[in-house]
Amino acid sequence: MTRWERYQLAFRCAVVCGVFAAVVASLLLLDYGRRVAEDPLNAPEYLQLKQQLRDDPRNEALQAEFRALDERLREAYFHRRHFAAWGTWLLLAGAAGSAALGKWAATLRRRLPHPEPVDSQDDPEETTNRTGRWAVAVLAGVAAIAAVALYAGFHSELPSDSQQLAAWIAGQQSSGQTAVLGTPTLPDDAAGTVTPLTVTEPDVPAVPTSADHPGAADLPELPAGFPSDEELRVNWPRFRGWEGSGTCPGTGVDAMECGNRRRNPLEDRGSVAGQQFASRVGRPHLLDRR
Amino acid sequence: VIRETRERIGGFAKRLVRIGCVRKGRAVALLTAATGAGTARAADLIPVPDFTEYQVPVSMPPAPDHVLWGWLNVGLLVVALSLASYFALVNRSRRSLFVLTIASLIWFGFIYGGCICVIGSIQNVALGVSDANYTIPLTVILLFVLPLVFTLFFGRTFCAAVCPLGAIQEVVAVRPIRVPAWLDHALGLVPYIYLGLAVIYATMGTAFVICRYDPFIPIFRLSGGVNMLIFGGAVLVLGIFIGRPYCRYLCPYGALLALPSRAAKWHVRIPPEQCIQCRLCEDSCPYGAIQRPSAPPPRDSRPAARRRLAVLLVLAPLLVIGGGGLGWLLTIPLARLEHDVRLAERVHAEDTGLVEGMTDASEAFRNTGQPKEELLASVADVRSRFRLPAILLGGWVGLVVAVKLISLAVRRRREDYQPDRARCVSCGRCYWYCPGEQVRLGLIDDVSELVDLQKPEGKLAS
Repeated sequence: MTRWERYQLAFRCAVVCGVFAAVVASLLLLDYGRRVAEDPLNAPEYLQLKQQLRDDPRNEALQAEFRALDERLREAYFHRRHFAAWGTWLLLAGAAGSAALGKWAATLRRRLPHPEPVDSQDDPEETTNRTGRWAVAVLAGVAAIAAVALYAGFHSELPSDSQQLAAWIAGQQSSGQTAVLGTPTLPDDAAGTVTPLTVTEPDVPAVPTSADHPGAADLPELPAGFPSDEELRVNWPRFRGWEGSGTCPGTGVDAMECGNRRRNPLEDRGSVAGQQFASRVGRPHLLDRR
Repeated sequence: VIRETRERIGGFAKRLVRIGCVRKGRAVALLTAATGAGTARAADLIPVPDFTEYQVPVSMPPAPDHVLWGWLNVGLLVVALSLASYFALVNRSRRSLFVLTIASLIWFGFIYGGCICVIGSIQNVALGVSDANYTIPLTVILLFVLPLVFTLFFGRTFCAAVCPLGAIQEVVAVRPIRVPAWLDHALGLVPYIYLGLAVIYATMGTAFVICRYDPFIPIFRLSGGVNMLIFGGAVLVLGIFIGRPYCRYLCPYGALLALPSRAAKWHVRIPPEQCIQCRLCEDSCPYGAIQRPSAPPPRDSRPAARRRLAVLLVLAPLLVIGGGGLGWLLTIPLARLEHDVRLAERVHAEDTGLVEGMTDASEAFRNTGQPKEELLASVADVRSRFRLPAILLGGWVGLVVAVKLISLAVRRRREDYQPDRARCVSCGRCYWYCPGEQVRLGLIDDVSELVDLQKPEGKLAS
């Protein structure tokens, strides 16, 4: 087989693999879109049957029908998940084959260049540097304009420092708006004037103790083998969440339930220090129980 | 897929709260299991039945890796760096480098999962420096330091064949074209800006943005957010025609490596022995990392060049100060990545009727009954804390621009075709184009078979 024939073979195989990968990618995207659109738990049939069961919870035939439908919908869902998993591997194989054969084809076609004679009057480095300076200046200008535009376009009514916060809350109070959600508003004195909230620089949040958590007694026992806070802290740097985003998995459950301090279980940041991790996640009552 | 499942479970948990099938805490546990879907057990991913008293079990954190796993990877990193340096500098074998690239891609990428990677370790180190309480393992410090040390001696051989992110781009670079030099100069500043941003966010404990926006991690794990998968796919498709786009125009660790690489004791050379200036290699580098021979500017243009340099030197502090000022303006937008700020804005928007409905986060916040003032105090604190880092970030960007402008105003004498030490990733593509290398490999007997040495600029032999 000559070099040219090998090149032809590699090139055509690379194209075939590339087309295959493109088809698989399209199917995966299609499947993903369908799975997002067709949530089995929001299927009309499912919702209808669920409502019927709510209305008639003792109906065993309805229960059996509901269970069967539930199982069928779940099976369909996981079948699609299985399809997606296989598709991922096929896409990877197709893309890898296309890249490998493409590189082989490129290598087979590689030739030494034939540089053109250069004009001795030209100074390519000077030209490159001059255009480079202008390009960098333009980039800096664009960045500056973008920064100003971002500043001008970004509007936030929230306070930027403690003084603004106090003024903002006072303003909210005087305008009659409720500044507190789910808890009583700031206390007014006898004269009916609003007591301004004194805002101090926040300290490092104290680690909650079991005494801080009246609901701790209701919490389940930790399963055997549950790692200690120390183990979690030591191993924490190895985990950055399921999508590599640095989002802490499994945070805030118990502190949320105990309620004295707010915890945001959905967006609790993961890139926190071990010490902060312990205080933020707040499992000391569990630790105490241990 | 996991995100989708997480959202489904999140919605499911909210429904559970509403219909009172489970206690609020259980629903929160379910929500949390959803957020940590990758680490929760498979059972947690499946919504629980509506009409039972099923108790959601406590999610177990994932078992930690064995301590030897981290050290194994450090050991393999040392081996890979040593091999890459040997193949690039001693063996001068592009084929061996490519094989090592594939091996690194498989191990550090697909098997190791690309985490913790050397690039992301910048953030661990930044957080470790800024927060004395942060526990940073020795293995992570070594991951950060070892490539820098090797670069100081051998150039960027880490980028050549060890980094999985570089490896996957190297594999797909089938028909790379040259990016115009002016564009390359401008876009080459982006990694420094990204580095500054990543360090700021890491030291503030806000987020590890390098990891969050790493386009290849979802590919290595064959799972991830759809947006990131599409981003990764787009970068790879772009990488077919533009060599290593992530490495050149985004990678913050590459920006770091460029510094010791300039001072590398041994660096790859294009010819194995002496450059004959045949110009065969001048367009061989798809990364634009080959510098031509150059002489000082002509005598009559030197005063203008000196004046230009003087102006830029005077301008440099102004750029830094101006950048700092712009950074100060960006304090509030920059702080928005902090989750407390986003949550407060959402809650405030809900309260004022700007948006309808609640997000899972705002609902969770309201369920806690925590006073809004505490949240607002947190916002004020975050914004106050972001002020200085934002100014420093702006100043850093100004400094980077100033240094780049000054470097482009300085001419250096070069006798031969040389790799640009800062940008060269030691991939060895240029070797094959050198007649001296072809002689070394036994492909030709003498360079005169390719090059007419009698011509002033070493033109090709007919």
